[in-house]
Amino acid sequence: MGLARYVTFKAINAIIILFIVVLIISYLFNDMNEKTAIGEIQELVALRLQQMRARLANLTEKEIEQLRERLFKIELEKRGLLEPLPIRVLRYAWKTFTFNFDPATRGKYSIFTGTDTDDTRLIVLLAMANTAMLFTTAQLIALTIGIFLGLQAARKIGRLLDRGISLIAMLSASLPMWWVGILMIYIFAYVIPIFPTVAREHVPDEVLADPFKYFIWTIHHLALPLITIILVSFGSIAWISRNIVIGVMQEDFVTTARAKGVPERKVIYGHVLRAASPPIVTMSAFGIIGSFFGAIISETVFQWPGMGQLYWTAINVNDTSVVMAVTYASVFLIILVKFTLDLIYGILDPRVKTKW
Amino acid sequence: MVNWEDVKIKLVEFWHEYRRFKIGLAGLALLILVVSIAVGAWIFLPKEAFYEWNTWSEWAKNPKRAPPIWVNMFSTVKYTPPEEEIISGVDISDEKAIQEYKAKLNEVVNVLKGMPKEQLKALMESFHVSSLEDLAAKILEQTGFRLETIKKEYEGRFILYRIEYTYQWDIPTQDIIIRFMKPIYIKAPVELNESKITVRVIFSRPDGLNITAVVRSANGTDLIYPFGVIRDDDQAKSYIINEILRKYDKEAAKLPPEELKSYVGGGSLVYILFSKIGNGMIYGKSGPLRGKYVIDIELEAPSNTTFMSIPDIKVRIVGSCYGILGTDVMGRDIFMGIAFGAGLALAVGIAYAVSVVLIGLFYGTTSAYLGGLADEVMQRINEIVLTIPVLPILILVAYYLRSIGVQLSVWHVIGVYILLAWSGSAVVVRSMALQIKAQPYIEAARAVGASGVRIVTKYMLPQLVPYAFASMALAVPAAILIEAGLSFLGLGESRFPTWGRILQDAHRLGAITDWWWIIPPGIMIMITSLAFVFIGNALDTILNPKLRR
Repeated sequence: MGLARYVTFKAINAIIILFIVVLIISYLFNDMNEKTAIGEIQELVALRLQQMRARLANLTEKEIEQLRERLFKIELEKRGLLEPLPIRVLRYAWKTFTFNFDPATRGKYSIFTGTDTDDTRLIVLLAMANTAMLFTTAQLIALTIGIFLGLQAARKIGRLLDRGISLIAMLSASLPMWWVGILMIYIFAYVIPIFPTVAREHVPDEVLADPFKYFIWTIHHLALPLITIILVSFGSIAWISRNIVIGVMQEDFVTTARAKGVPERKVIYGHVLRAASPPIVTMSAFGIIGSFFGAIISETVFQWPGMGQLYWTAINVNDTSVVMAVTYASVFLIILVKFTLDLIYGILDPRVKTKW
Repeated sequence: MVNWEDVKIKLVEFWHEYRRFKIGLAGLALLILVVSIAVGAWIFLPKEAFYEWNTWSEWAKNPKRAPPIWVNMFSTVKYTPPEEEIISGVDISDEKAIQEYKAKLNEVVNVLKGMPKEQLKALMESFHVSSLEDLAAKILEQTGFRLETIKKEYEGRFILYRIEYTYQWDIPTQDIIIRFMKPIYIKAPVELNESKITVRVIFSRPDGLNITAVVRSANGTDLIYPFGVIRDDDQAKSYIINEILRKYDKEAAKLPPEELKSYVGGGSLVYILFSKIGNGMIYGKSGPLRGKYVIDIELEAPSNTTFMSIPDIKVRIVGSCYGILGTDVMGRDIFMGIAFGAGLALAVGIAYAVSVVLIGLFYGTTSAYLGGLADEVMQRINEIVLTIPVLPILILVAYYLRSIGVQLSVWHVIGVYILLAWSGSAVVVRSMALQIKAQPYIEAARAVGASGVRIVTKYMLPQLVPYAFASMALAVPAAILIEAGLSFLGLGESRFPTWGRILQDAHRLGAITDWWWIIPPGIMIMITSLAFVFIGNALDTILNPKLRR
């Protein structure tokens, strides 16, 4: 019973927070969004008047002006722009909250969708899929390497590996991921040209025809961004794991296990890792969210059509609806990850059952 | 009252402990390095480089996208280093007059040579001369054309500046700029339109080729760009195309005339001027022609001038490499940008770290101390702030600032970041403060009747100060990376040089192969962040003895 209450509480909390954040962002974006809308309406009215020119020939200039005003008002009313501000903001927030985004600027996002669609939801989804493909793969590999190295370092504190890992962790905390990306492109695409300079480009037909060739082609193109993200990420994961594992190894049950004569290997991978994995996963999850920003810029460097590139494109073409959609998507993801972590904690932590 | 003796003793104790950490010392050394770069920039470098990073006129004197000078030590391809020289002019009016007279004389002699011999003999006898030259002189004299009159007419109207230049590199100078040290002063009986000086550029190569180009209506105060004069002179250009390229360069001969013309009128001209005659000359592929070049700059004043001053000129060989770290596409000195960027990065990083940690400290402690409903509400607010993404907010800030005509600066960016980033440290502080709150001495203080403000500020916050210092040190790199990242997205400083901006400029212009432009800013970001990470880690280890080994 306790767990269900806990989960319900956390879920409601997550939804409320999501809505409040959307409300705040909607309020902030409302002005920009309405200005775009008013600009569109003005164009529309001008066009309408142009079409009616023949019939307007015998009207005076003043009457035409009045007509223009009237048409403008009608359009404003149709879009609900004459209502009071709180209602407008609330409606905008609700539209965003329920994934009903305004259409995107046509023809600017063909690298994401391959067509000139203005369906904002589709554009964001495809970009997210691309980001997930690159970023998640890289993070999974980095997690594997990082946790393994962290364990090894924790076993031999103060040795070369341990010191090396702490140094790498500190270095990677000081390096902008995207700059490493630029450097990788410079070295491995220009000085020693073994990889392509961009991660996504037009696929030749003969490659597309052969699945195996296409696979190799994709790996070849993804190699540089993947290596970059892994290189910058694994150090801190290893460092975090090392610290957590050291903490766990000081616990009594490990000493007991060792005293019982359990082989060291089994102690590490059986007892210690099991106890250490929830905090490692939590820390890593937050680390991954943290490195998301760097990854966004890295996508622009590698011209990978993911969320970062989408953000960048939307900023440059001043497309409020896409900026809003990407923002909402990222807020949604952050809250989702946090909720999932809460859920895992709730299941793993026995105190939840009694406290709630 | 604070007991300063106590503080001093504590600091000394702390230093003794800190000194034991090699990594902390390394961090300190790096920090000192960065700080001295920042301070040094403000002391030794011209401030205009910082305040007028986008517009400073000095940048125009530098080569564009030029590697640093020291590449010549490693590279097999040698770049021309910048040079500056002051050259005095010579009055060549007399020489010019003699030249003019001789030319005329020759003309007459040639006409005479074409005459029938009988007639010539009669003429010579009537003038009492025995040679053709003398005869011609006599004839000219009769028409009023004497050397003395020409000399008088030409007096003070011609100046020659001779630039002798030994070229021994592979990549020629991108440009040559000539500047008058003082404006030229012209005296004439009648009012004169000053902008009537004729400039003649004679470019002589070691292999004997001469290229002459003329520009009329120059001003006595103008800069003179000899290559520009050649580019603007159609006769000089067609001489290069028809007499040099078409004849000797098979690759150039293949090009259509229009394209050929645009090559000669563009950046290829310097390569052509400084290359050996041969195939691929137009692309500078025929190899550099090393040796002594002479560039004569002749100035000619309008015809009724009686006097023209001869100011010295400063000749700047712009070169094709520059300074310690080269230049960017606008000729901006990357070293200066990076050195000034150090101050900005430190200021931004420290301002961010101190504000974020202090706000987090107060918020977290207060929340923990109050407890109950207030704590719950404060936690929810915290959670909301933590979730609001910074990027769209920054886009908005940039949008609003633009609409009121203010340029985005690094302080706007970091201000927005501070407003949204304190919540992370507030979470940690709150959980630490909850532990402190459970200590008996807090309960005792409350029992004695200490006020809430007193308990928070006097008894709880001091306990958290060590943590605060460590997390401040660790927050600085975050700010530096964020600033660089946002600048890279174009959401950063727009007027002054920051490391992120320098990188963004390079990336936007696709200058990824200009290593001197791409690598140093990143290394500076790394060094500065690393300094604070090292210091923070040392502090953390001192204050967190569990991790120490």
